[in-house]
Amino acid sequence: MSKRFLRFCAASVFALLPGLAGAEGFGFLPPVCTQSGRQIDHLYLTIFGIVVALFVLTEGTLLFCVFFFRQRKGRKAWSMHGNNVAEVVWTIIPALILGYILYLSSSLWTKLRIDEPSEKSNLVVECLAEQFDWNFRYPGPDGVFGTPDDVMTVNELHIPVDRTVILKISSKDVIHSFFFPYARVKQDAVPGLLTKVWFDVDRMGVWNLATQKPELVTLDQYNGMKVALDGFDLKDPVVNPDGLRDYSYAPSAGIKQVPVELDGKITQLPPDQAAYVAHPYEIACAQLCGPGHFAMEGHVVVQTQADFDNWLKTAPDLGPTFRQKWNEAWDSQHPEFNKPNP
Amino acid sequence: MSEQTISGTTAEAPHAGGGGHHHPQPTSFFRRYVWSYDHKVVGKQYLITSLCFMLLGGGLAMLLRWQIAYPFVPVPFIGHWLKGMFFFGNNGAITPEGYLELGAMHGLVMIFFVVIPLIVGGFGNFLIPLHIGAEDVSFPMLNALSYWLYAAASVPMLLSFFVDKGAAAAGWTNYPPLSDIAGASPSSLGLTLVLVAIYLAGFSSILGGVNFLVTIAKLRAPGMTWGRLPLLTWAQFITAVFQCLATPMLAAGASMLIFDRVFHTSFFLPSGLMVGGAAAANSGGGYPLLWQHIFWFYAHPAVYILILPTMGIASEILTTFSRKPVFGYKAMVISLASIMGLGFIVWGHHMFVSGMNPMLGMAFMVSTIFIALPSGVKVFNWLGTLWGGNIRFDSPMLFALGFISMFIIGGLSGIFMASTPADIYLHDTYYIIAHFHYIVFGATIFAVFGGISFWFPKFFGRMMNEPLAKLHWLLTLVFFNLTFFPMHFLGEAGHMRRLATSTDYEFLNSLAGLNVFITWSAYYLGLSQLIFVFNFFHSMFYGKKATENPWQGNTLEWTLPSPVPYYNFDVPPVVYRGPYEYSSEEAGDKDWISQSTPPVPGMTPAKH
Ligand code: HEM
Ligand SMILES: [Cu+2]
Ligand SMILES: [Cu+2]
Repeated sequence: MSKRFLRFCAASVFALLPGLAGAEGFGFLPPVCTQSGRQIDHLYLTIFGIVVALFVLTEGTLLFCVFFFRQRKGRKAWSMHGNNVAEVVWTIIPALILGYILYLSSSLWTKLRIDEPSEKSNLVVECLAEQFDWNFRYPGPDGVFGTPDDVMTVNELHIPVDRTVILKISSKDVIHSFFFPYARVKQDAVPGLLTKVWFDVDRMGVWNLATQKPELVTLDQYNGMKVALDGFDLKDPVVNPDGLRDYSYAPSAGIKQVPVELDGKITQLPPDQAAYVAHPYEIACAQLCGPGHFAMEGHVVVQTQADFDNWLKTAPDLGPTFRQKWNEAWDSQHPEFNKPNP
Repeated sequence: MSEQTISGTTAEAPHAGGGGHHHPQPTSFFRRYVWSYDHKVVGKQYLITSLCFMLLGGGLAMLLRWQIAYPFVPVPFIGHWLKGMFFFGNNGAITPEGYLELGAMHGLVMIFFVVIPLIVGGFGNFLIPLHIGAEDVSFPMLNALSYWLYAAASVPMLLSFFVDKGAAAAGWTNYPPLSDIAGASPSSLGLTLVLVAIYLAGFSSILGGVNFLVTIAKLRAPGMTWGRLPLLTWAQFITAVFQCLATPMLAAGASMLIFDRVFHTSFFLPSGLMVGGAAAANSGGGYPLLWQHIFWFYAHPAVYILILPTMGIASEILTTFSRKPVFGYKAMVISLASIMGLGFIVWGHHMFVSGMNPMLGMAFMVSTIFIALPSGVKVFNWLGTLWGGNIRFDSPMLFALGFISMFIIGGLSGIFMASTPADIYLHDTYYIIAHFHYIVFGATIFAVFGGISFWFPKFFGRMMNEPLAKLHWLLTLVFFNLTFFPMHFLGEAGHMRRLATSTDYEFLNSLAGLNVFITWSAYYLGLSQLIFVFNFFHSMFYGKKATENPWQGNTLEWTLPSPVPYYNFDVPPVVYRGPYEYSSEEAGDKDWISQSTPPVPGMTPAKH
């Protein structure tokens, strides 16, 4: 058994290393695709620095005491009941440090959650959570929710890059939580209640076909890449000897031509001409919502504005069941959810 | 009654145990060990029952970890026996429903049936009367009732495992609507039974709290002023305030949820709820976040119920083995009291992304950040206690040192989550799991182990086996950290909690190895506890006979024989000085002096 244990130790060290050495992220933090997410990471790192200092100070003192004040023959402990100066010092200094963390946190919180961006000038998407799917809805050409031209999707959120997107969230059954890890966004979906989040995605997800690894790129970088928009499949992962799953993309069976985007122009090319594949981000449910909770996965497809506009025009109609679902759980119950904020 | 003679009167009130007269010790087995009014027996009943439940709770955790490391792989041995029963599917693997059941019941058992009864019911009952120099608690019958309510609560809890669709499976927090509508949640009758169990356990906890408040306020021996109370008793006093003021909220919430489930009211169900394709029958007019407010208004104070008494235990042990007075007694009491004050206004930090108004989130962030302050002050004072000591490293001390260092880690991770923007990301991930296990296991359970070996002589009249206790400490410390420290990494990587498997997510892919590592560490951690189980029962019968005061302590329990006799104090004690006069001038050649040793003529006892 102990040999096996060592193997697990080794495996987990391997799991650790790429995280610690991560270029953009810190430690195990996954890559980040929003400006607001970068600010959260920055705050996290600032607190981390302070906490490490406090950790070293306190645990160091503990070890020091254990070593230098261990029992020795003939020694007597100091009979000391306390010291008011010390009490004041170690109340005031931590209070100042905590006050600093509070100051940083409250200004970022105000920016993220209290100052709402205007719904008039930004893209608004509605999100209806249910056991165990994410439903999304766009207002369609008339710009009004709850009308027949609305565009609906399931488990796939399309958004344009470099734009602020406001997501209006509710649930039709139990509480769920919309979690978009790369954006550092999380917001519960509560039945009967409308909650809102916004995010400003400025990185696009692509899959490097040469390395078979995901990458995050800016719009400028993306424009210089040959990215296949379709015609590739993410294959079932293969479990490697370290217990990790190896993911890879391959052209769909029998496909001859795939749409490849370069510099905003889309051309049909043979699959081997593409260097990258558009790779959506993952979203998850973070609030226990029933037996299917672990599989309540969705995706965020980040597109150029032109591709997004085009998608919105041609998105398939999901049919009457979905229209009815939205109508029953959202429009007829809470018509006020569809109204933009002033 | 006629035999109203021997007992003295205290400064403030007559002795307990029936208003100032001694009854002889009951001779029947039933009155002596089952329906006993003796606080020591009640304490031991609590201690042993809750330790048994700890084995149950721990066993559930072992199964949880199997599923996380080896999702949907049949569980060796156990899964084979129990195919198709409890949490297992027909192939002997844990089902997603079973996983949720394991998770919810692990949390509920550990909190309501292990830690609270263990540190309040067990240590509190046994030690408070001894610490204050009383014969018993103020209401001995209420005390017995409180234990038996707790025992009764375990019946529906245990029964729930056997009913159709199993026990509770909506998290230990039971958020509605998941916990509320039959069609939405995986469990049915089981969850109602568990709510009844929580209700009863809460009731038991309130009775215990009332009893402690009155006992500490009224039954202190002459000379035992508030400023001379041992810190453990102070901590129990403040915990009792929490129990009396917060637990009724749990009762209210549980009643509402039971009403929703059984009588189809809709306290927590808004209008127009659709489960699957159909409208939920009794939905209308309720508010799901109401439950979260009620629950956390109780459960945040409850997490302090889980730690305050053990802060007291740690203080007692640290001072005794440093041979030095507690540093900053007053600061310790003030910080306990401010934790209590602030503890009532921080509950919203569990709800930062729940949909609660973000302005409220801001307010809760302020209070939460500042609750770290008294916790910090306590840490600094513990370090001050060690500073300049003459430290002995017996097993209780090793556990108390473990307590401080694990508490530091758990407290520091709390700061990240108290910062609302960081908590947007960390909420509902393994970061939370790491945080509270550092506190509830790393700190609380460590102090419990330390406390058991410290007061074992008083409990059972014998010493625990020292080498075994030290081995247990070492293995527990190592495997505890190997199990729970990497959970910070999981949380940092965004790994959600309460997830039957993470294999659906590509962004969690690289964590599979880490999860396997954690699982094996957890198994070694679990196995290490068997050393304790053996040592506990073996020492109870075969341990070395203990002397009166094996650790040279000052507080009143160390003036009594080991084990403590039926009426505790033959002669009612008189207290002359504070509890921590180690190495004082008055102590002379020894480095300790008992609270009840009369002062040497010509020498004034220290004021403290
Ligand atoms: C330094 C002081 C502390 C701070 C600042 C702090 C902060 C927090 C915060 C903000 C959360 C919510 C995180 C989230 O769900 O997103 C939390 C969760 C929790 N804390 Fe603490 N905490 C502290 C001390 C403690 C103590 C002393 C205990 C218990 C003995 C404790 C037990 C818990 C538990 C059990 C949870 C998780 C409940 C759940 O969601 O299941 N914490 N803490
Ligand atoms: Cu969900
Ligand atoms: Cu809390």
